[in-house]
Amino acid sequence: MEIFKSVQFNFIGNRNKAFVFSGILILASVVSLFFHKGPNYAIDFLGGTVIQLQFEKAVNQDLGTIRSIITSLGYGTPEVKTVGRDDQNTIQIMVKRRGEGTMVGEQIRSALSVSYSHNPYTLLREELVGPKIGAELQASALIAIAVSLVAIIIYIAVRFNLPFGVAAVVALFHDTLITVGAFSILNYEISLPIIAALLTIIGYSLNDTIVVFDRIRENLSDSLSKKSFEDKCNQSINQTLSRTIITSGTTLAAVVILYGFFFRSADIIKDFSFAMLVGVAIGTYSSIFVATPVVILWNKKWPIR
Amino acid sequence: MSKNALIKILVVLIVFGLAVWYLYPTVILYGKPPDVRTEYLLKNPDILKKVLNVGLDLQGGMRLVLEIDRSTLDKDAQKDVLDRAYTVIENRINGLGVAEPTIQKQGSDRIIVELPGLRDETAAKRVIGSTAQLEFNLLREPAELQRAIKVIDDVLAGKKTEDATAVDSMDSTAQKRAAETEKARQLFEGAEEEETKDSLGAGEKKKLLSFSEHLIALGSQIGVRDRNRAVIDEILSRRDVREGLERAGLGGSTFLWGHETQKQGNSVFRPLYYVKSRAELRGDIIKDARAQIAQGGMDAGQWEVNLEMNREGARKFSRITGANVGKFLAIVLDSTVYSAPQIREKIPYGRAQISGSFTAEEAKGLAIVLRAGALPAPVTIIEKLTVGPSLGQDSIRKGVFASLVAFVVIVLFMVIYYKLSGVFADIALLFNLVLVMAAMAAVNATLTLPGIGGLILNIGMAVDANVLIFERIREELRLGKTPRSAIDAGYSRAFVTIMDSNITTLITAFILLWVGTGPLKGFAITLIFGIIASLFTALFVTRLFQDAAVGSSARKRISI
Repeated sequence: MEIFKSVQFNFIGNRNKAFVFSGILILASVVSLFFHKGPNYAIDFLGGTVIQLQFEKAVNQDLGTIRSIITSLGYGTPEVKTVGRDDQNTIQIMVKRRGEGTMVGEQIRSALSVSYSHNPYTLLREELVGPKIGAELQASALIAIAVSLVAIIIYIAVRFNLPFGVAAVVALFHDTLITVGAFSILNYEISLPIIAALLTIIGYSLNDTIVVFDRIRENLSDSLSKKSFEDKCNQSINQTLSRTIITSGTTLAAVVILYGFFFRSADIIKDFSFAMLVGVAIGTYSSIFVATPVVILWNKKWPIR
Repeated sequence: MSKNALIKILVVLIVFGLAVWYLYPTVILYGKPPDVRTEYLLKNPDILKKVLNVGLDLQGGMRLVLEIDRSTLDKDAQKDVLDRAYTVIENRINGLGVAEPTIQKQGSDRIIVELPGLRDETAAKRVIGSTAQLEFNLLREPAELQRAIKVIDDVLAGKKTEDATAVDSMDSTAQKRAAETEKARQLFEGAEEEETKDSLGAGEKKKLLSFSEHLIALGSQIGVRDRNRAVIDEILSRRDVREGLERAGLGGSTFLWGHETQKQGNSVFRPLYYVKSRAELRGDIIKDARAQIAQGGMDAGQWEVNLEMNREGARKFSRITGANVGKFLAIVLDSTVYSAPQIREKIPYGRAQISGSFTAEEAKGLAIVLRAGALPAPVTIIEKLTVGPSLGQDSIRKGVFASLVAFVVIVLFMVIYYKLSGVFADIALLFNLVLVMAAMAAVNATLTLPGIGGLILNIGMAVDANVLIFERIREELRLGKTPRSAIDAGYSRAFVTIMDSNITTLITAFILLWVGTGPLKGFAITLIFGIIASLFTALFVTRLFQDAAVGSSARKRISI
């Protein structure tokens, strides 16, 4: 069985349309980030407390009451929402930016114990992050991403050449920004595992880009061919298309399955797999429609080899 | 078969053998049902170092990051404070009865504690976090207490306060006596004043009224409404108050809160003790501490903690009690007075009891803490994660299911799309998973929920190397090459691409490993092992199968 037996799509010819599409996505991301005043950081980065409680009986009508109980303890406006399936009666309480020491969680829980003695709960999960650690994690996350990008530019510049390195990093920037933008538009939280997802996406997208670049390098060194630079790029993309689609397909399948299983739970895996979904899709797209066109642009100004 | 092929088969078999060897302990341990497992663990504790650990988010339990506050220490003490704190915490944790605790130092100030399977998190927090400075302080005489109260009142009212350096005149003695009578009156009237204050509303509480107005009589001590505790603390910490007390010659005494509150009418009151600042005895003389139910005396039937002192402590204790019969000795833990019994006689054997309406857990927790010793410096919990056991089970179930489904889907796809070669790739995939698990067991890594995510991701990405090779082989076949040379060309051409792309992914995975904490490290490790394993299986294992299937250049067809 084989699809894409002898495809010859004109990817490069359509690159302007792709630029526009990417432009729209990036604009939407930036606007959303601006509008929300930055990413929606989880307590991992802001400090705070998150509690998940499972009640015996239904509580979805009581969210407002619970919220005001917590506010009266002096913890500002907490986020209280239901998570998981309806019949699980599970809620999640989040108090951001506060909660020095361990009192917050205990105080909230004892206050709720008093008010809900008729509807007891069990503690599923409680997480507290002090503000100092939050700030540290923010710093290390940014450093990790920056160092990765630098390391990548260097590696590719050495293995291929500088224009390829720059093009790869532009594509990665594009992917990261759009993924973060997607989270911002949907108002999903950016937590530490999401940063891990971003780094994985960077790795994956790069993987993809290199496969294409490798082909381009091979075709460029074929002195017998009279094709133009652009044609050779197009040909490279078409030649690797089969592999690209299949690998993206299998990875996406794995991620979709992961997302599906954890869709109804409050676990961070849900957001993590969503990030991977967006990232893998955009990462595949960017190798063809961002990285390669950037190489072509570069070649127009400063011919490669 | 060529020698080359033989060597390759040998390598694969050896690797496989090693993988099985490393995985064996894990399979043995987790194959047993939970209760049998705990027993087995007790008899063979070092098996823990050879297995794949299960993370907190899958097992349930608690993780704490503690930070030491060095500000109160002098330079010498600062050098080994982390090690000392580590030992103390280690001892305390051992008293908790958790099966596989982990304690780690981080940096120069932090200790990370993980207690998998922990059920009672309140006890754990209390036991681990309390500084546990135990001290025995003598209570000051009532007359001195009255003087202190007067001084504070005067300072608050802006009056000139008593100056101990001034000549003691007849007037001032008369003043003092008058003040004492005044004090006694106020103490009893204070209770009434409290009622009126309340009716005036919450705003009144904020105003700095005189100190004595907050005090009421609580048995033989003075007490304060628990609600007003912060107000009193504020008053006592004021600089002018402290200076006033020092000027009056009362600098060697401190106010300490009691541990137990008392109910009177509708309100809850907390006793306030006035003690000699310098402790008579410190906690380092404790040899043993046991939680027990009191057999006789006033507190019979209640939980208490029995202290046994070492020889030096016993000697000192004997001397102190002998010299202070009739006075009260406060037992102070972390600057809170747990009890202040009267010294009825000299106590020669270095035994004492701490009682105070403890629950069994509180008494046991206190005993653990006293046995392990005091922390050299106060410690704050800067990060805490508690996962209930049911959530953990749920996550494991979902994670395992998702992995199985992903695996089956991809296996089927590979067979449909690449036929026999697809089967080879699938076997390699299986091998891949086994290798990753074995590698993790070999380094005693911890499988976390993100780690399972990483494994599933790995399943999706592991086929990539094979796909690259297969597509290349198909291309070569289309160009008209024989299966043998197509395979060779495919592998050699794809090799470069595979190395480049996987190395860059490895770079990001290593950066993640370096930056990540706890669960993220687990994810990075599965990613790294996954990539290395898929490189090995794609380039080696599948190749072996292909070579076997096609043989030498004679064959005309390859199933791909």
